[in-house]
Amino acid sequence: MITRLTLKNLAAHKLRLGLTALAVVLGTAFVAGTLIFSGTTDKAFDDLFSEGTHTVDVTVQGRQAFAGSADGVAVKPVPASVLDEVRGVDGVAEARGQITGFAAIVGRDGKIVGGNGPPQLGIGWPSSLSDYGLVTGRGPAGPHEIAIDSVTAEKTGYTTGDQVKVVAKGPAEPYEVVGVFKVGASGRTGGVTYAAFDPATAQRLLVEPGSFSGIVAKAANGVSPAELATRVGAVVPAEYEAITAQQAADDAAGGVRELLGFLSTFLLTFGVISIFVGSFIIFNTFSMLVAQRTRDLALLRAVGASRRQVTLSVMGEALGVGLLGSIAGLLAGAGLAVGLRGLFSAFGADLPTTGLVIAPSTVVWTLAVGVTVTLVAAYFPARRAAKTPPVAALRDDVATPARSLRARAVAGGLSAVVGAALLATGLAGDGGNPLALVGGGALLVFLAVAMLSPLFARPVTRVLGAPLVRLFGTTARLGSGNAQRNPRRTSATAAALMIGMALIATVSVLAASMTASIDKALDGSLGADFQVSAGGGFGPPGSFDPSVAAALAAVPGVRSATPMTYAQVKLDNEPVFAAVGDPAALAGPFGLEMESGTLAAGADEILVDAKTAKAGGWTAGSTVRGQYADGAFATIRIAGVFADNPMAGSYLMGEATHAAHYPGSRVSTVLVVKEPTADAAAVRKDLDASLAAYPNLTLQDQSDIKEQARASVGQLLTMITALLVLSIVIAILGIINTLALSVIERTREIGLLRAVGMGRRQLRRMIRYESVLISVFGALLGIAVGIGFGWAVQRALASQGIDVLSVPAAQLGAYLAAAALVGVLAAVWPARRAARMDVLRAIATQ
Amino acid sequence: MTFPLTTSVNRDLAGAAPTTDDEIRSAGPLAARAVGVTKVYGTGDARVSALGGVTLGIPGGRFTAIMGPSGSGKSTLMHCLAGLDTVTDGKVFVGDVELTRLDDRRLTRLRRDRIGFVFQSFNLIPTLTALENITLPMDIAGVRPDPAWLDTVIDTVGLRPRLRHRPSELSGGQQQRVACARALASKPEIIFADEPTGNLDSRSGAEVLSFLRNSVREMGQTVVMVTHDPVAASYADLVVFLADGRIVDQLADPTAEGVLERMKGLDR
Repeated sequence: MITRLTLKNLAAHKLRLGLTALAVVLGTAFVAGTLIFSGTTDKAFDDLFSEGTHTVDVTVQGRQAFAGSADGVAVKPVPASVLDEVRGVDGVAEARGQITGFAAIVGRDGKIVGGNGPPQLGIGWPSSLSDYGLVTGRGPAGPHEIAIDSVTAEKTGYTTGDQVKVVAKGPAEPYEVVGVFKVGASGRTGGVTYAAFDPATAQRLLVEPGSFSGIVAKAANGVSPAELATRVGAVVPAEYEAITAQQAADDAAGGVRELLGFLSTFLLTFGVISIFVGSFIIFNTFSMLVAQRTRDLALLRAVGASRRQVTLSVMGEALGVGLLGSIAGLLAGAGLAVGLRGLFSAFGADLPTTGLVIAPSTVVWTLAVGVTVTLVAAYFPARRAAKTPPVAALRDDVATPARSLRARAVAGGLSAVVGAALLATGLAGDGGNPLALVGGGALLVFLAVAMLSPLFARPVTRVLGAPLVRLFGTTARLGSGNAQRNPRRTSATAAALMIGMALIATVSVLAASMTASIDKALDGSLGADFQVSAGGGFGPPGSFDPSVAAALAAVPGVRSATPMTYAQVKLDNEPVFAAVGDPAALAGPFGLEMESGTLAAGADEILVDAKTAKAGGWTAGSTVRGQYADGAFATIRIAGVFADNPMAGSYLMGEATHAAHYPGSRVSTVLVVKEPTADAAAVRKDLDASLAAYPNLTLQDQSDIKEQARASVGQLLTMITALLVLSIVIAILGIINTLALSVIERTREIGLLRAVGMGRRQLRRMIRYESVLISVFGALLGIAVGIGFGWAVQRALASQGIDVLSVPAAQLGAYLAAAALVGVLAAVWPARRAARMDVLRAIATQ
Repeated sequence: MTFPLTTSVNRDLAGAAPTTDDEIRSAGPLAARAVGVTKVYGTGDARVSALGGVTLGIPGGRFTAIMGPSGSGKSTLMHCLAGLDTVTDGKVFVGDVELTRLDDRRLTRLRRDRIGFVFQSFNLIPTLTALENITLPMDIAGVRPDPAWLDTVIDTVGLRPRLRHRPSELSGGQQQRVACARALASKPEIIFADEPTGNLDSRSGAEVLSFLRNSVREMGQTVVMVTHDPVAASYADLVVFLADGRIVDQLADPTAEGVLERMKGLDR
């Protein structure tokens, strides 16, 4: 019986529940889309990386304790002698040296093909046992020949016979394209570009003459890859390791997977936010439906339905809405996953494709999240429905008496205190999982604001409405009155917008603070006039040959050109990034000031900044146990302490240490200081000219660097804001839903207004004012909360360089104006419905 | 049918109802009139005729009651006269304006400027105070109420101490008096009251009815009231009886007993 009633109610309120379901759809679609996207991409990368393992069983490469260098690719080269040893191992059917490294093809526009994102690879031809099949032409055979992959060929239009420039370790050099090959079976490269050289050229350009980046071996019949790996491992020198090809593929895929995992978490966060926002709408809709059906529910109770049955009937409706919404969300999510892929390729990250992977776990998660959130949000209204006294069926005044807000105030206050405490703990980094603490704390604070806001919804909307009333008279007074009449409803509706606005405001405050902090840091410290670096944008910074520094130093008007890079080192088992270079040479460009010790770092010596020294209890001369990327342990001596310096960071490693433990002495940055008397523009022109052969390198002056920092902060801000707009869309749906339900609820009132002479246009205006007031109220709450959050996060990050708080007032004002516009938009449809209402029927409605 | 003798019968208007436009126009100055109005709901088998050719004049400055059993079409007739409902056939005039020719915008304006309403229930906007409710039609129109007249109206309904209260803080009788004050405040040509005492106890009902009658006697207002209560109808100057969508009888200067007698006749 209750089931039938539930189904009938679902059918009777199709439209209202439809809008609610849409909120569920949007939230779950984001979750499902993210899960499908990451599942699909994961599988695609697995396919890509395992392609090579069909023909290879064991890989030999330089041992790496952890990703040591900033560019994450340099490993110790394997000399040819090791190849001979491997070939001599019993059970090796075939072994070859593999040559891989950075080599970028220069496009017809003089820029690197592929740009930021996936790496540009050079390979030795045919060094690998995996399958690079020629499509046209032949393999490269001399020092001036290359073959390129088919995707790059298609993208650039290069074909056999063309002269193409390629930049590897040294300056760009011209090569003749003699062949085009297909990578793997699919030919897809995932955005990576390939240039193949003959083995000797490849060794010279990509590794070291006579050395390989790795060795691949194939097992003889009857020898398992694991067995072979053990046998080979016993033969090669200790600084090299032998692993199965499967292991190597997993390792390679691991990095990508870690990145994808981070991306998924990032995207899922927004899905969770959307669902959280959606839950407010679900809660509100069910509250309103229950309020409107008080008489029906009371009648049910009067004829003998138990409280449980009434609750179940409402929960049944929620189940229906949640289930339908989640299924639709799953389908929409598949579309979203395709869209995300498109977005990535639009940004140049051409992900390998495979059919959409909709894992069973994706389906389960999506449905579970959608249904659970709907049920939880509907539970409170359902319980209230059950409390309807049977006598309400007989009373004429359907309006439920105003309940006290005291319980709310207490619960809200408690939630605010606990939430703030969690936030503080998480931001301070004390607790176990800071991210979860911050997220949970923010959630509680949002709930607290939503719970407490009915307490001040009335005065705030009255104050906000006052100028409208003064300007627009009665219609505004009516609209403002409607916004004030049910503070809970106004608050719950506004809360949905509050959350999105708060997050956007938080990000805006943080972005402004970051920009201001960067400006301040650069203004204060950068002694270098120019900076030369490879690549940028996504991915790790590229590296290049130190000889570039010498070339730059020779440019007239240049006082010094100092090469530097970054390296990872473990101190007391904590991995940290250290700047690498000659401290004395870097002192000028960095503006280093020593507090104690010497301005030099020999082997197994390191300089630290004052802040770090204090935290570690170190002084000049202290020692700390450390480990380098090649796995070597050392007792590292603190050679000196320098004053905190945003350019140098916290650690500075000498070149001797780096050369000993980090393969391939490459640099990632050259800091250039000009003669004080030299003309900046002229020097820049000359520097540019000397870099002409390095299209992979970028020359920036101080304002370029600031601009770049500003741009990347802006880009991040735009991206996060775009993702948060989804929650705003859901909030708009919520406002539409509330207004539409309010219009239905106030049918007779609207009929009366029309009867006594209110025109349709005035009626629409009245609803619009209400909508705008609700929206602006929500936005104000959100911006206030957002400034608070932004301040808290900035305080927490102050020690990491974001030491200036900046509140972008103009931007936040624009958001407020946008919120008013949101109100206008949300009112369009409900207002039209109200205006179309038949006057007579409206009056006659019971 | 029985025609009991009533005291001070107005000979011109008593007895059988006039049936043509000319007849009703000859009866004196009219505030509103309906000419051959029919109203049909639905089509085909579901076709229901609510009004079957009603011709009726509403005399100006008088209190007219429209009576009839449930389903007689009395509310439909009032809605058509007041411009709240469209007619299937025939014409409706308020003053010289033919409502049946107006579009929604003009009709809305006419209701706002020339007609006052008192409904059975839910007469007031809950978010507005009593005073704001009284001046609502003028506020919507963007005109200033005549302060002297507003004072008179407020004093007549006796609501001065309650002007700042919201409807939820007023009794049912007080709410109906606010509704009456709103109807009067804009000096409409005609006030339509739809069962204004239907939800009130007899004492509050008597207050409201007295107030409506006084507004006719003392202020020269035209009032049309739909009711099924013979006592309420007895406050009117003229009672029009409706049955099955047609006017079947009229009674001037009625008493409750007289109205009840005729109603019994209609039910037969």
